[in-house]
Amino acid sequence: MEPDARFADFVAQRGDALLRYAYVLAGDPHDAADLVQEALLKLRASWSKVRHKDNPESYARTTISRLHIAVWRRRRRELPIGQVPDREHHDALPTGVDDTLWRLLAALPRRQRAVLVLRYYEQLTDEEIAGVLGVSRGTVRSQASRALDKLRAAVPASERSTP
Amino acid sequence: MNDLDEAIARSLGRAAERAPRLPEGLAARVETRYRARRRRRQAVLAAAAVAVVAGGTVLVLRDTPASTTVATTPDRSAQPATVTAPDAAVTAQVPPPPTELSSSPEPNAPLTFTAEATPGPAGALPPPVEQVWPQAVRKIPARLADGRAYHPQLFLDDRTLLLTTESGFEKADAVHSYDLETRQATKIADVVTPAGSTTFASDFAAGDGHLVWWTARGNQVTIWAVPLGGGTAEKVATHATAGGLDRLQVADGTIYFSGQEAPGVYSVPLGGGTVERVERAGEHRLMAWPWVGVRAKEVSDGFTAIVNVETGEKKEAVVRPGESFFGCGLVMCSGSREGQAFVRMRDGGGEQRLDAMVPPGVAPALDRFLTYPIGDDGWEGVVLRDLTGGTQAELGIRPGKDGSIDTPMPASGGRLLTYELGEERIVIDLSKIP
Repeated sequence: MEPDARFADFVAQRGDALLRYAYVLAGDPHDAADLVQEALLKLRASWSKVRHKDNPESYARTTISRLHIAVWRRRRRELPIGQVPDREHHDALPTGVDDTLWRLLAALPRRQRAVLVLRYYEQLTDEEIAGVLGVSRGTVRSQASRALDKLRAAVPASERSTP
Repeated sequence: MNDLDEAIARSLGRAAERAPRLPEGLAARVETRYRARRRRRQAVLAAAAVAVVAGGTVLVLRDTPASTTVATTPDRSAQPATVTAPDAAVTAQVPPPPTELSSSPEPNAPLTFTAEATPGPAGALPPPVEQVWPQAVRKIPARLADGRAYHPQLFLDDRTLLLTTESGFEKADAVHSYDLETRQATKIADVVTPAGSTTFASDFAAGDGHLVWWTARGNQVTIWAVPLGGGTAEKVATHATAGGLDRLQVADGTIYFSGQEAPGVYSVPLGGGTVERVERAGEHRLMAWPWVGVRAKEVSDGFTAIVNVETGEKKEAVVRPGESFFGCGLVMCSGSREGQAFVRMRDGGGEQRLDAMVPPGVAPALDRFLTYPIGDDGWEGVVLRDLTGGTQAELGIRPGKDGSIDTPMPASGGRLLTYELGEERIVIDLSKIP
C-alpha cells in the first residue's frame, strides 16, 4: 500500500532518530521497535493536523515517552531491563565506564530512567520533563536525585572521566 | 555539568548509536494498519446508521412510544458484532472478582494521551456507560460535604468506598469510608506521615476487617494497619528494601508484599510480628495471593508465568516470537505484535485484535475489561470494553483544549473505575457488569 508521501518522508528521515530515542528510553530493542510503531500509528491518524500545527517529531517523542511509562503510572511496578541487548544490533559493544553506566541506567526503575534520558539525552529542562511525563516538577527532581545518588554510589568519581 | 552528568550523557549517546535500525517498509505497514482501522470504524458507523434507520422504520409503521425509544436509542447489539467476533469460551473462564482489594497511591491516575487540538466528530462513539450498564454506574459529588477534595481507593463493599483526603500532593492525611447511598463520609483514621518520609502512604489494601498501607524513609519501609471500624493506625512492621513496595495485600490474617526492586514475597502477621520471606515463592513477586509470578526475559511486562504457592498449580501464557508488552491476569493477557495490540487467554485462545491505542502491558481488569481512547483524526472519547462480549460503552470524557485526553484506568484490584466529570465523580463497579 502506498503511504501518504509526506508521512513516508517523515518516517524515512526521522524514524531512526525516534528508534534511537526509544532504545535509550526502553533499554531493549524489541520494546523500542514496538514503542516507535505504536507512536507512528497514532501520528499517522493525526497526521493532517499535526503536520500543520505541531512538530510531528515532538508529538511522536511525547507519545513514546508516555507509552513507556504507562505501565508505571498504573502500577508502579518496575521492569528489570538490566540485560545487555542482543548483540546483533550492536555496531560496537560498549566498553569501560559507558558499559557500566548503561547497565546501571538499564537497572533503574522506569520513571527514574525516563527522567535521566529526557534530561541527558533529550536535554530537556525539568519543567519540560514534567510536561512530557505528566508529573509534577517536584517528582522530576526527586526522581532525578534518587537516580543520580544510585549512579554516584556505583561509579567512583575516579572512573567517570574514562572515555 | 559535572563529571557524572557528562558520563551519563556520553553513555546514553553511545548507546543510541547501538540502537537497531528501522525495519524496511515500516511506513507502509503503519499505513496499512491505519487504513484497516479506518475501514473498521466506518463499518461501525454504517451499522449504527442501519440500526437508526431500522428504528425509524418501526416508528413510521407503528408510531408507538415504545418504538420512539428504539429510534432514539439504536439497538446496541448491532454494533459489537461488527467490531469483533469474541470467543465464547472466554466467558466461561472468568474468575470471580478478588476478595482482597488493594490500591496504589494514584490508583485512578488517568493516563493522558496527547493529540492535536481539534476533536473529531463524536458521532462514532458507542453509547454512554450509564445506558449500557446502568447497574454499575453511580454519580457522586466531586467534593465532600465540607468542600474537600478526595481520592477513591477501592470498594470496601457494594455500597462503600474507601477514600483518602490529602494535605498535599499525593500526601494522604486521613482515610474515610464513603456510603454511596447516603453520600456520607466517615473518618476511619488519620494517616501519619513520619518526619523525613520519602514515600507517603501508598497501596491502601483492605482485608480481614483491616486497612493496611506503607510509607518509606529511604530504604526503610513501614507497614501500617488500622481496623476498618475506626481507630488509630499502628505500625505493624518495618522492612528494608530499595524503592519501596510493589504490592501489598491482606489474606488470612497476614500481610503479603513484594519489594519494588528486589524479587521475593514477604509476609508479616496483621497483628504485628516478624517479617519473613515466603520461601515457596522463591524469586517470584506477588501478583494476587496465593498467586505469584515472574517475568520472562523476552517480554517487557510480566506475570506470563505464575504459580499458586498454596497448591503448586502453575499457569503459563503463550508468547509467540515477535510478541511483547505482555500484561497478564489469572486468565487473560494483553500484548503487542508489531505495534498491534491484542488480548487473548493464557492458553493462546480467543484472541481479539484491538485497533486502539491500548496502554502496553496492562492486564485486563478482572480478566475482562480495558479502557482506552478512540478517535480517527484526533481523540473523540474513551471507551470501556467488555472483552467477553465485545460490548463497549463510552465514559463521557472529552479531549482537553490541547487535544489530549485523560484515560482512567481501573484501580489495582480491578473492581473500581472512577473519574471526575465536571462537578461530578463517576464511580463504576466493574463487578456489577453482568
